Amino acid sequence: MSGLLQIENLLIGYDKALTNHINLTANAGDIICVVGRNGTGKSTLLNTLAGVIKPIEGNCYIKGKEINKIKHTERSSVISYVTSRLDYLSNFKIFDLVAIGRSPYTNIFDKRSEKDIEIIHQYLKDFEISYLKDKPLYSVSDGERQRAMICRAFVQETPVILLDEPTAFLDYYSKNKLLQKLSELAIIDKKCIVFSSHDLEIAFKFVSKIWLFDKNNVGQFELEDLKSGNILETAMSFKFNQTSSHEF
Amino acid sequence: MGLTHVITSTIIKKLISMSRVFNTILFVSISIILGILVLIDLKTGQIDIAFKEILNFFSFSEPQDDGYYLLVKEFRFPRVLVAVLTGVALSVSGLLMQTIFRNPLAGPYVLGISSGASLGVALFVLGGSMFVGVQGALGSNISLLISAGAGAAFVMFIILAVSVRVRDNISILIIGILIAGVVSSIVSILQYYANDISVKSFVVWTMGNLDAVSYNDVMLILPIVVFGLLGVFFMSKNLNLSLLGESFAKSMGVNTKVQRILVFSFVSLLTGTVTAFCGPIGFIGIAAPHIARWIFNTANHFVLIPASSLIGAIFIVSSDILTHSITNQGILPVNAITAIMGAPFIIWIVMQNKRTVI
Repeated sequence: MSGLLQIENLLIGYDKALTNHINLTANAGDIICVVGRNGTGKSTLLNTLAGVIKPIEGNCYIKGKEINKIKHTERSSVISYVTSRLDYLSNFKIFDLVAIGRSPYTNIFDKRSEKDIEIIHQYLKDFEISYLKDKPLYSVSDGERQRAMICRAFVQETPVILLDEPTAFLDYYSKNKLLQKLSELAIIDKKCIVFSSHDLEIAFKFVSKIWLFDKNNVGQFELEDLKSGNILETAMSFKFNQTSSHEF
Repeated sequence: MGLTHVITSTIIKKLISMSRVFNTILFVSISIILGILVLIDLKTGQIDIAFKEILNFFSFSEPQDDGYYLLVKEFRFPRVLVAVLTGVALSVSGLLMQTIFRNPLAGPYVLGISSGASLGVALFVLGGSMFVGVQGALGSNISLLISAGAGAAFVMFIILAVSVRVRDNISILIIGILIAGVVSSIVSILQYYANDISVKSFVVWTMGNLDAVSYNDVMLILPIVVFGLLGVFFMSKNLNLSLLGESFAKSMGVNTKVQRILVFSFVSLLTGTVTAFCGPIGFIGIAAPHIARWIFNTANHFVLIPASSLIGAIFIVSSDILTHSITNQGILPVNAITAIMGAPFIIWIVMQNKRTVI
């Protein structure tokens, strides 16, 4: 049985491998948090899954198709990706930025149908950024920009959504709100959402699985697995206090 | 619920059509300004021609004065056409480079593409005089076009080869600036060894000169610029995606490698062609896209490509008017005028916006 997203014997890295071979599976309806210390390869894994960089060895499959063999134009309708880099300086309006999510479905002149426009407005409302739609990208805050980028990924309406540290620039309220929204979308719309985060206390309230980077190994865990024992503590080199680990 | 939905969607449609109307008004007014400037440019020169004669020229009616008619037809009209085409080619090249390098300072001049074209012409004009003994004439226009195009393509090829290895766009920009430096040094060395006559004709060429063109040149430049403009316009959607960085564009399904090759080819084709005929004209490539962004307040290439083209054309046609009207003794170099006219304007825009964005 293969999942919607299937990772087989994958070696990730730019020149040399960052980890041992990775084998992971994700299905529709899964919301997965990628956890690990800085520099362990979380972003590299997401970059590889998004097809931005090539794997050193091994393969990842979406719906049984190898990611790097899917045509460029087709890939953007099965995977959407939000990077953690935010150095965009552009006078793109937030509406236009979010509307980019429809580009896999528009013609060469980027002509949007009424349905496209409707979808864009629906998600703008869902992510509570309708008030930003006429503001240029360079004038909004990091958190607002982050929400707009995430909104764009959902507008893309792909079965798999990858998010690199989506909560990084958000305040406590927005972190909660965002992750709640993500888990809703995963469950109701049967999306497969994979995101990396360091906000474990909040993230673990909503996730169904955890991909844990421990030294050179990447393993898949259920929340229950992490509650007992000290797997997480060892991986993160940090002793979580009793109250916060309670919430897991 | 249903009613509010209907109302909001009507409002949205209204707003969208309003911004479209606004853009149309802007485009029409800019085109009218360009048209008026073209008429003024046809009028100005060492001999002043009445507007009546110029309108006559366009109405295809019997010429009232054969002398004026010939002057407009044979000299001024091709000059203005080439000026417009040059403005279009350089500003679209600048826009492409700014987008692909995500750098507001990029342009064909900065990246050494113009210098490459100069090197080609220098090798042809100066090198020719050294080795073959060609006496300073700029030779036929087609050989000029080929040498400039080859020079531009040569620099482009080096940068392309580097860009396969170096993924970072800023590094490529730095390398482009360095190549431009090396190329202009080579040109200086060539100038040192070449004979007086060919040096003079080369220097005159570098100053930018629109007066020497004929309809034959127009027939060469026009199809190339139209082809380039159309090709670039069809890339607009992917260029929009590239504004948010290469990884992002890749994740959105843009084949960034192919796109880079296409952009570089179009830039060297457009820049090489117009540089061959008008000399290395700086500044327009950087300035026109910024003015377009400022006027239309957008980052959308479907708007920016035609807008930059029109503004680039306005820019160079007005420069051409100035070169012909400031002095009665001969003609000032277009190059100098474009910079003097444009620099204060750009400084003002940068100060208005507080920050420069692409």
